Amino acid sequence: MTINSVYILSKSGGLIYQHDHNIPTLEHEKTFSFPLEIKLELQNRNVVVSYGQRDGIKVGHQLAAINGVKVTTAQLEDGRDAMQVLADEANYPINLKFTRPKLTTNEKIFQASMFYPLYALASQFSPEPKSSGIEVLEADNFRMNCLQTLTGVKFMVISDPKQSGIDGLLHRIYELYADFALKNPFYSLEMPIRCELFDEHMKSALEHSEKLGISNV
Amino acid sequence: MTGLIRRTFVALDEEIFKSLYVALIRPHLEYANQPRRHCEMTIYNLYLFDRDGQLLYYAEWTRKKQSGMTKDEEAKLMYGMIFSMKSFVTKVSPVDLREGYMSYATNKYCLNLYETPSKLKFVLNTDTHAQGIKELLHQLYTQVYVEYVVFNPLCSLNKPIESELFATKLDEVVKQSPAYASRPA
Repeated sequence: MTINSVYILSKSGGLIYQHDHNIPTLEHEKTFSFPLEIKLELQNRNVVVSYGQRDGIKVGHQLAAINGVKVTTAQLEDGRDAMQVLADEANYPINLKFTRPKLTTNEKIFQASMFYPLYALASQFSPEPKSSGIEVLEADNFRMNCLQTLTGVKFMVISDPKQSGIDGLLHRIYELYADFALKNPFYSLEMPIRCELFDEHMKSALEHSEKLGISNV
Repeated sequence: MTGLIRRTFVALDEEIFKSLYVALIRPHLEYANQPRRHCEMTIYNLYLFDRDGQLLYYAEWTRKKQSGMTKDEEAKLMYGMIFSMKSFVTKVSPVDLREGYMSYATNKYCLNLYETPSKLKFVLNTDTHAQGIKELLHQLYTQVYVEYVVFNPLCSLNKPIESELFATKLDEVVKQSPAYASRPA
């Protein structure tokens, strides 16, 4: 029963608010001996698993630490290059920690603007006349609910598929948007929402509906 | 309920009974009737794409609105949409995905996408109440596609499917599924 994150898109498709509420961190640690059983490669300056998933470590996961030392952008905290450390046989056995990559802010903006055409296409492909765009998008282990207001603003909530009461939450977020963003004299339309009161109320609304979702089940 | 009315009201004539019936019994009947009305289910159409995005097969059953473009263009656009939707879903998902199944729903219809390990994509449009579509798509893959296309020496795997046997079997399985059944053909 979790709500993972909230996205708000302006009517022109830009991301104007994003909040990560409860993102599970997936970490897998394993000690390897030489030679390495999995194939790693550099992607966007990160060390990423490209072949050989095993023990929960999947293709696409990022290298997060070597022997407990953090790795960021393919460099260890002490300045050594991660790929060189991995290539040297003298460093083995070696303990590696992998995580599922988190979205960076840029990627979030990119993904949010990608949803806009999906929404529009979905109503074009409809086999029945007068269909709306995507309202619920469901995959194996998450669900995304989307509410489009009459003015074209989209609210999206990503949650556990079993979470209930999302429709109510979406309307509550709409209310908050109207109360704390639109009624704020310093807020200009289509711009990112930076407002403390809005943040606070959003957090409490999310926590409230998470609790409610549990008691309903 | 009728018994209750008979017990409580001593002087029952036809007029009073009628108004009591309307007030007390009819709402119950109408309430019970409602779920039945919502049960109308249907399957609209099916697209089958191979791993390169080529449309292998298209079938439609009760589609009411055409998209206003040629089949070819529509298939390309559809593949483009499910391709970017897949990438969107994998990026946005908070945890790792397990299987290649996902669906979205609008207020009118529901699109179901099932991807086999060999990257074959089944896209099935149903109405929003349809149940058990994942199983149906799996059945279409294992019992129809594998049986009548993969095992058929005359069918080339990367060409649009022209086998009539495949078409009839597919039609049969879809029409037998409970998601299709409840609407008169």
